[in-house]
Amino acid sequence: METATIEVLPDCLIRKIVSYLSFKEAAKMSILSKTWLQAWLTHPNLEFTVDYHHDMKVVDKVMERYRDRKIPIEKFELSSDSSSREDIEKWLGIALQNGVKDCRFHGLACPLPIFIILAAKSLKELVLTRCNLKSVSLSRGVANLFYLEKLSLSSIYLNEDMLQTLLTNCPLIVSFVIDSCYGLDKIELRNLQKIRILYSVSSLKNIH
Amino acid sequence: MAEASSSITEKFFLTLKSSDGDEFVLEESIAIQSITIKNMVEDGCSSSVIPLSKVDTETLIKVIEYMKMHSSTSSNEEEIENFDKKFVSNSINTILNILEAANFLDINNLLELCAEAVANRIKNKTPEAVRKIFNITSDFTPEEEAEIRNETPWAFEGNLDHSLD
Repeated sequence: METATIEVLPDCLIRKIVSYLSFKEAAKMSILSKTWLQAWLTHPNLEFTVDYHHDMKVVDKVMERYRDRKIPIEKFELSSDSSSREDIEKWLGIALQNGVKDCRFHGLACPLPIFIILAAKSLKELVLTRCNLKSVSLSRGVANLFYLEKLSLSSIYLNEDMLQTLLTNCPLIVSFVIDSCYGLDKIELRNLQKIRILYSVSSLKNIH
Repeated sequence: MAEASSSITEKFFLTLKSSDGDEFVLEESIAIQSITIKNMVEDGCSSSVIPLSKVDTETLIKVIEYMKMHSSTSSNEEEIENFDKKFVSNSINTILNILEAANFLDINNLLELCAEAVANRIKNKTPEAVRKIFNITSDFTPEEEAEIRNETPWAFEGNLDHSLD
């Protein structure tokens, strides 16, 4: 066992340490002192798992606080099989307004508001797992993800047009992961000059 | 030509002095990974000994070890990665001291490395254990603390580690 020998850390270092904790871990440490509480209240990475209606109110409250105080958001991650489309659109809107660069959605029951995501110019990373894009048809030129570097799609029903539109509008993609997606016969990656990592697990016959 | 090539290979050395009074001689090209030291060199304050009043000997030795490994000429990526892994397995108090030194010396990648290491070490612990490790006195009233716990009950679920190492 170690005994405490350090003196009180400067606030900026506590904020730095807390930024490396998950959102939940940071919340747990918020009772340590006012500095730790403040570090949690401005945590840049928001990660929520919403299973019950009650949790939705928790998320909503946190998101409204980030909106009202204009607290920068780096990452927004939501795992939820019960959130409504309205809720998701609202939270995503706040995240984007506050500069989010990394968006992750897992297991959403309602269709993803893909048009809002596609217009997000600041986004660098997009991870979608078990999400419903089916009812969306994309026309060319709708995506604005000029800075997207990482795209990961897992267990999603896609069609070729949709994927092609997506990929041609993300010219800077470095990493593209596609895993267990159906509805596709082939992928074309001709326009992606910077791509370095391609990882594919599915029944695809052709990757060009 | 001979003159030009000799000036390229010529090495400059700096002397760093810890808060305990110990002196360490280090190549300038390695030491200026610290922006604080780099600024001193550029301002011409480095001709004599550079006193680092906020960094003790034990911590300074670690910081110099880190800077030597991370100086661009001598190490490859894999070596650096393995070094960093071993470096963060130091005791949490040592890491916290290095973190403070990295902040004072303005060595950004060392600061990020240590901050992440501290976070990894405390993430499964109870707030009470972390309070002891960091020597934190709560500045909340019991009512305020109860209110925070009440507001975020989801944060206190799950099994937590009560140990202090």
